[in-house]
Amino acid sequence: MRIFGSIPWLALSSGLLSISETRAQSSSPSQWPLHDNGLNDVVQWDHYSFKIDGKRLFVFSGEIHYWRIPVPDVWDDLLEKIKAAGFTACKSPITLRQFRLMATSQSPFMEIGRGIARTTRPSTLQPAPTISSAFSRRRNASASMLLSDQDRMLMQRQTLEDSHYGSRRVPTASSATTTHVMPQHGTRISLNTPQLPASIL
Amino acid sequence: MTNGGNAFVYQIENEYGQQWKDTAKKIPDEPSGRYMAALEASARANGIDVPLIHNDPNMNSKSWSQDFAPNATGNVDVAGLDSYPSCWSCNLEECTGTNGEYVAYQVINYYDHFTETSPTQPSFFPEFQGGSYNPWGGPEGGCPADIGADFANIFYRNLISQRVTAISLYMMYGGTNWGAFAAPVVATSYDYSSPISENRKIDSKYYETKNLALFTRVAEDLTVTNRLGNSTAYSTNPAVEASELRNPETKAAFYVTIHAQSSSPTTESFRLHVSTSIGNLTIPQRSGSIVLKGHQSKILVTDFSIGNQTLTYSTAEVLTYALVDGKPVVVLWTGIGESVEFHVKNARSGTMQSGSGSNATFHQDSHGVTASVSAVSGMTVLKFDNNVQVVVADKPTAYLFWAPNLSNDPFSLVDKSILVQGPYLVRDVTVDGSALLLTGDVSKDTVVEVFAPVDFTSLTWNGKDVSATRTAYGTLKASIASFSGNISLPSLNSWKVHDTLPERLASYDDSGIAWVEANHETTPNPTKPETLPVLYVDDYGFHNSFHLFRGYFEGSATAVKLSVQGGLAFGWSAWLNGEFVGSYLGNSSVGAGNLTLPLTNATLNANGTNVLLVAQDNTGHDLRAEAVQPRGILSASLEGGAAFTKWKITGEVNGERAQLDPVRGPLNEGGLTAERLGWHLPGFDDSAWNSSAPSTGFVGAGILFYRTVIPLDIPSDVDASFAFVLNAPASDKLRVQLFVNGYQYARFNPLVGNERRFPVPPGVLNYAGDNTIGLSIWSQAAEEAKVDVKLETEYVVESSWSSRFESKDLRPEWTKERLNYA
Repeated sequence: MRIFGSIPWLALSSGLLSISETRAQSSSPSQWPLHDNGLNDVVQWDHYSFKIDGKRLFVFSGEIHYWRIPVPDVWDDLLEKIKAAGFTACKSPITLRQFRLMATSQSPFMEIGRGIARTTRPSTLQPAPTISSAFSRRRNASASMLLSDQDRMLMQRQTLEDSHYGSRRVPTASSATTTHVMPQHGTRISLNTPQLPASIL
Repeated sequence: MTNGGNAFVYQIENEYGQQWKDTAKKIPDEPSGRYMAALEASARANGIDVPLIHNDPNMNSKSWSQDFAPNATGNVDVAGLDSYPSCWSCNLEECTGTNGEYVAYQVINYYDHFTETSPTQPSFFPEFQGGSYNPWGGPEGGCPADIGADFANIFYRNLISQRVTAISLYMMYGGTNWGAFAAPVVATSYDYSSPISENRKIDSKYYETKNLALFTRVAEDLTVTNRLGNSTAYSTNPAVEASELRNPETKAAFYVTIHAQSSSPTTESFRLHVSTSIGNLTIPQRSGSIVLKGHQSKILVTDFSIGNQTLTYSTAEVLTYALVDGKPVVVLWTGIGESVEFHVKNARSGTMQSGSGSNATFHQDSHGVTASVSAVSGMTVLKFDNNVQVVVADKPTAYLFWAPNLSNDPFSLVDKSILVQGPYLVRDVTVDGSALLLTGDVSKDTVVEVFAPVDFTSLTWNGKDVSATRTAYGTLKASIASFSGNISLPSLNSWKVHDTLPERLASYDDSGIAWVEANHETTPNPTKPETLPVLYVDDYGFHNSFHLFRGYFEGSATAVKLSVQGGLAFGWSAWLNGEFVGSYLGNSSVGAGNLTLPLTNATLNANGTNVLLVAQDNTGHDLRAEAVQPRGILSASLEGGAAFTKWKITGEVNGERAQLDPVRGPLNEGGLTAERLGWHLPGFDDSAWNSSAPSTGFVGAGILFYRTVIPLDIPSDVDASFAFVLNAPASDKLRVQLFVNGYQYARFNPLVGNERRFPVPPGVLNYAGDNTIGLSIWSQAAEEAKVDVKLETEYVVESSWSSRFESKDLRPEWTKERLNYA
């Protein structure tokens, strides 16, 4: 916690505006760069907040791991509860494949994305490909039960072809292929390999 | 979003704070940068063009921010920070390395960090503490004491006091580590003490979080603020400090008040010095005080915009506001019995329209009207002549206040907002002519009150008409009946049982396809075994839950020396030629167990072949760099003559080969005979088995599998939640797995863990028919093993979300190909 010095109230003879003027730089949006990533201006950001379609949004989001409750119908209950709490976003790790398909709504296993679209407002999903991230998330334990048989077989094949050793435990959507993206970096290769092989995308 | 979807940022890595070899000198760790750059390139190559983000694990790593190191390799578009100020684990010792000594409710300064590392970006937490996980050996039910509603109240407001405008709570709903989803640091529950509980119940922590998020959703001025000060000088009480956030364009301000020492549990009264458009004031101006009751923070607004009108200040927090027929309705909330004073700008008079407890008083000045309520109780409705309506609610009333929206826009369309008070949960509102169709849940008979445009004259609740009456002050009121039925649950007292450890016998045939000969002389694992062959399960394609090893030797031996590794809380047992020789019982903080077991009391075949069976469970691979720690037997040797000549291994059916159960997925099963043969699945024929119940149990070290079938018939107009409760009234040297319609939904290890209550979701449970319940009981000692199994109701609420839905596809039945895996 930052303390701006100990200011006796009575010493502020001209009132609190003097705190504003003397104790902190009072800036305004025109003094800060408005960023985008050069690819689009749908999502922008600056010193203050995110902007979506040019409007500022206070992002109050919560994370759910849908594979930790493996019943798609129940995801609606959770997402409705999150929406009812006033949240403007939610976050869930997904696979890169899911992300791509979500955009086109073609996936038979994108119920989580559909659920989010159905129960939250637009612009709310905050995906991460790292189903395998952080402790139990670090296990590449994706919701492979969400996958079609065909997808699963493709992933299994990829897994069998993958000579890596490590935390890869099961054929999953998030196992595989950073062999070639992060050479020579010890165990991180097998720990953080969220991307799907391009061959099955 | 850019392609019509709803994803607005994309996190390419997590807690990968590896940008620097030397952070102070900004000497990059180049492979890490190339790795991040490759992830970014991959995302872009796959058409992801929303901003890429990262979640930096702590304030020391300062990784991947464009502001901190412009154009460094691997930077993301928007940097973010991760923090668990009250520890991510119920075992507080896990966090002292990052957080220092644990002090409950001690907030952390992030402001300087964001100023240093990402000043041109929003202060952003892709992960902020929503709760804590519960490790093996942690308290039953988790550790909600210091991370409950008060935690949510203080810490999320404290983030706002530090100008944070983007927060994602980890977790909002945790769920369950069913099957083999857990890492060794956590047991079956992943409740996480989240705002939404593992059984999906909502309670005070959810409501506390909701009440802040409803506010931030409508407080548009909060998205552009400067922090002008942070000091006890704002308060008349030196035990209370405030941060002043001010919007430089509208001049609206937010004073985030908190104990100067945030860990302090005291109740403090104070008045607050604020700067408003009508001058510098000390509020409340007339009487009363502002109260922080124990671990509490309050965000008090000045010049808060409510449509075309302005709330000049309020000594109670704003919950939300809506524009109803174009007229602002503001909801303020504070503790029961506390006073509130607020000022409505440009009003000339006010009246109390409804309320219990003390009367409101009004004082006109040249700028508007100051209103006071001396002891807030329930709900008080005040009306001002400039069409501003103010609802003053006490905390229990405010917890049950909702703001469903007629629009689907994420931005706060306050003119489409409907305010609803009363129900346990309001999920949504839609419109049908002059009727408002409300959906949600009630846990008891409930009076619902709705602030909505006058054109709406009737209400429905979950599709049923409720006779709504119009109050004198314009709201609609109706009574909602709760679920009045009775759900009686079956007792689990009619069981079948079968031995599920035939592998211990020397006569057992391990030539089937379930078994793999362990014949590797080398391993790619960086940890090399002390004895050969390699007996690491992962090397042979087995990864989950439970493994068996059969070691052959000829002639005599006096002892076997085994080192087995399975992750925290794991255990192992061994049998020689069918006779029990010993167990490693496990420890919640130890992942490997070494024992030398004498064979002198076992029946050895001195002139022939002997078979040692080792059974181990596996709590998963370790975190991060330790993930390559092997699972299985690290060394196995005999003393007194013989040496092992052959080893065979089995685990989950088919290992990495084709799955037999694509629905429940590859992490559901381990390698018990019961699992390989599918005894846990619905549809398996156990008619030839003996009858016996787990509560009757058995004596001796071994593993038995119990099955029963219980019917459920849960009404469709409720959301009902159930949990299995397991107890071990005799020996606690047990390792128990519970299977519900084939899903492994509990690891009950009473010696090393404290979890006894295991919620199981609808869909896994069949709410409209039979449920196959399986229980494997591994008794690790020659003692009496008994397990009591109960199914109990967690909650039943009348709900628009029915927990009874078509879910048969989630529970595929036993198939005869399972017979191949004996």
